Amino acid sequence: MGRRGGCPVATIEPETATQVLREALSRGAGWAELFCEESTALTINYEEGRVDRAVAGRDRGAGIRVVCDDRSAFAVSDDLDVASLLAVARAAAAACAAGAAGSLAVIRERVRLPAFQVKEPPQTWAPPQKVALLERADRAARGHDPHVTQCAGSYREQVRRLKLFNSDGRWVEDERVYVRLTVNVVAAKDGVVQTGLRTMGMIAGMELFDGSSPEAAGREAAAQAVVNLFAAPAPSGPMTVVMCPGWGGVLFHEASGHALEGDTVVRGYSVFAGRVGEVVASPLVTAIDDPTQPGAWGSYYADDEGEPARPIVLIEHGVLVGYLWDRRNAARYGVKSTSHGRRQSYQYPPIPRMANTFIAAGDVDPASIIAATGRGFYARDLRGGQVNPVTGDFVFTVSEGYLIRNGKADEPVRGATLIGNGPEILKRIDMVGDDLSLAPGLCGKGGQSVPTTVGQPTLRISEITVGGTAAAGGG
Amino acid sequence: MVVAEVRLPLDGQELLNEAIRRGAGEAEMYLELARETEIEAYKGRVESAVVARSTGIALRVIRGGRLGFAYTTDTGPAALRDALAAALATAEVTPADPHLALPDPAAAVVPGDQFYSADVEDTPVEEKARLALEAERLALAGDPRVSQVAETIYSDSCRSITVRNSRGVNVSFRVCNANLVVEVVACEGESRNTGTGFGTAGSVRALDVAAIASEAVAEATRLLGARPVPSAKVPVVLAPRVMAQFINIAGRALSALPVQRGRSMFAGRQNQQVASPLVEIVDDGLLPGGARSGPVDSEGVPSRRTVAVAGGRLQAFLYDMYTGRHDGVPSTGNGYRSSFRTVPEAAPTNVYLAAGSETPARIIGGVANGLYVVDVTGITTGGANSISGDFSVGATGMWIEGGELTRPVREVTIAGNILELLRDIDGVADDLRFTNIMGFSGAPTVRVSSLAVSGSGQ
Repeated sequence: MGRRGGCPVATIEPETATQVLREALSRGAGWAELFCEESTALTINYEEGRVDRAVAGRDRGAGIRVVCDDRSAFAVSDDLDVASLLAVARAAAAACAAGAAGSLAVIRERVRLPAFQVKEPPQTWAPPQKVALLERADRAARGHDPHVTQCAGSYREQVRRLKLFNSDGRWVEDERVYVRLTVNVVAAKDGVVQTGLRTMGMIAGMELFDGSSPEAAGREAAAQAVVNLFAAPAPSGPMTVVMCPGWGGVLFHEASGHALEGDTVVRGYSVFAGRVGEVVASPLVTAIDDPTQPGAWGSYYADDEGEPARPIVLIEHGVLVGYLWDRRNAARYGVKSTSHGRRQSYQYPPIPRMANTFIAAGDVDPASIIAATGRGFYARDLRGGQVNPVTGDFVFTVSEGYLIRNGKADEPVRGATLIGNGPEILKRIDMVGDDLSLAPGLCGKGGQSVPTTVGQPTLRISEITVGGTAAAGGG
Repeated sequence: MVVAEVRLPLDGQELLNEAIRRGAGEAEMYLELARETEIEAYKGRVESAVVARSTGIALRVIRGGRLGFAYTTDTGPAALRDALAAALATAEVTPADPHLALPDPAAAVVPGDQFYSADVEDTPVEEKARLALEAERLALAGDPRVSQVAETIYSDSCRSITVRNSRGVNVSFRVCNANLVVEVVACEGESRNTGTGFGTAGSVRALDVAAIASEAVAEATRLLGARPVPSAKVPVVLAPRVMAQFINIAGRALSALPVQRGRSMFAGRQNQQVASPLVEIVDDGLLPGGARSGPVDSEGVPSRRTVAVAGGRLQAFLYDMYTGRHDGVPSTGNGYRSSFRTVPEAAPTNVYLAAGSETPARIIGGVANGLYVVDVTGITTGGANSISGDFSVGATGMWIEGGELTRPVREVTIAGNILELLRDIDGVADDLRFTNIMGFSGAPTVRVSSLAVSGSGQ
């Protein structure tokens, strides 16, 4: 192990990759892939009006994957020297020690992906400038309302340099830069404690803060915590629900997105498996996953299998038209990858994932949606959700909600969860606004967390169960 | 013993000495070598196998009273010097804090390998694969209504950890953990349902494959035909895996850092009655088979057992070095890092609600009209707030009538506040069980006198 450390990603050339892939194919695998990564990250946490901690980190390693028939093996090394890579390739190869050996194409042409336009790389800012962002958010949050008792901000930047080779001869290099700021605010009054949260994030550099300010994030998080402080307990029972643009897209992400990912489809247990061409949603619903949205948090030029990224229509005017595929599950289903094979890092094999998933804009003025609702619930912000892709049953947590009475949403209620069944809820969407927006999140699946964007315009669901603590849904 | 083989190219002590030479008042090195396996069985074959080996080093320095921290997966001498430079640089943006401290060597440390089970490392991958295949086969054969086994995953990890600091702490230990999860799909008529069986243990042989498979089958089949129930406030019985998730949230809130910063539902409640007299919440860093067990915590402080809540009274918080200094008390061995990438922080080790004396059947038998909750969703995605204690989560289970389980229930939520839930516990069963669903935690079946259940309108 004496030679650890001397081999940055940049030095892995086609000759080395060819040698490693040949070893990976040596025991009968039909296909092999080498994914190398070198990433640096800086996290600064700010709490109690000062920097709480700053962490600088560097991760480097490679994942080698082999596929034989419909089986696969994946082995990871955090050494990038040739001997280590060959040893890891042998470990992966051993899992396919039967069957006919695959062929190895010549790795010839490099595809260097156009880096997403990073105007101001994070490395060009001195650490105190990054701290200043957190100070600004903190000041704005605390200045917003005297009930604010705590503000915790977090800044994170990550630069990922990726290099991928596979036995088809693919050679792709990529660099992804992520910047993210989150603000968590606590407000308290008479023993009642409530929280508010705002996140901003882009696959971009420090220009993230040109478009929207840390002050705005701080103020909005504070406003949310304070609104909840004075909110009544949420009602329980079925209600008409208006969902906010942006984060409201968690609805589609949980209610449908996961069940449209190819791994659940190929095994036939997704509620949407085998239903292409069928009406699965209201005709007002067109849903798209587009990894090419410029600067969006979930974007990429090529997925983590080197497949050039492209938008996919999932549902068109209510009719199911497509799924999200990685290479392996697509092959088993007899289709092609849709460029949705993603992995958290070199330490994980790729699985089919959403990127930037959203319901397309309709043509209704969003204000008129609430105005047209005599009695109901307005979910102005959501925290997250979870789904069982087999049954389609999902929940998501409302972080800011209002009762709608006589077309007005001005009575805050707290502690609501929305619960329903994906296929049923999609059919109950009866109004779609023209105000599409996207929101950045982190999606967890199979132990892997990847940046994803959710999105939608304001929309209305004719009936969904609101799970609060107060009796009598909607009064 | 692959995890023991890797040697640092640079002597740990030398690295610490260099940190001191370059201006650190105190320095710490945390080395983690991990070996992980994950095997997925599907339709009688091993569909995927993942083997991973990783090395990570974290350097923590206190320089002029300021905290600096950096990590790297690259253990080459140049990379380690870069990491040291990065740690010293991050100390420049943090303010001086008098409570920062590294521990002194402990007088007595439990021997290093009591949480290490050689069978996790020595069992061949083929044999681990056979476990997963056997679990899948048993689940499929368990009931004619089981249409498919959606997922069968065996996973394990062995970690070898060394904590060394400039005050003389130098401890190494190994921890292993093995897990098996089976998810089955059951169908009857139009109704489809899933059920999950799981096991988590400190060794491969401690996994009860048959029990895990039959648990998945039982859960999937007994909830077939489930429907919502009308909204109501009723007594609710929570299965161990459900209560364990609430205890996990409570455990985080019992950690001294959120308490000191006013981010905990338990802040300002020390020595108060915060729960029913039946409630005893324990954190035990020495628990045999615990996923977070070890002779010392991640700062090198000896692990121990702390009774945080006894007889419903809040009597202790969970401290690391930093929060201990803040409150003028010793660390309770709760300096935790989820990996070498994070700064140690006060957090639970293996936290659980202690078992009571009643059988689960008697707990359910005490409910005239209520809900038995088998599983919840959404706790991890914002459905439960450790600061306010408020929660609202999706639930599946069985309706209870006259003390008997009657019809299956789905698409409902249970909502309330964790402090109120703890206060309203009026029965604790004897079936304490640990889960690894959202971090390691344990609980027995409990009965709560009243919770809001939201479902259909009528």
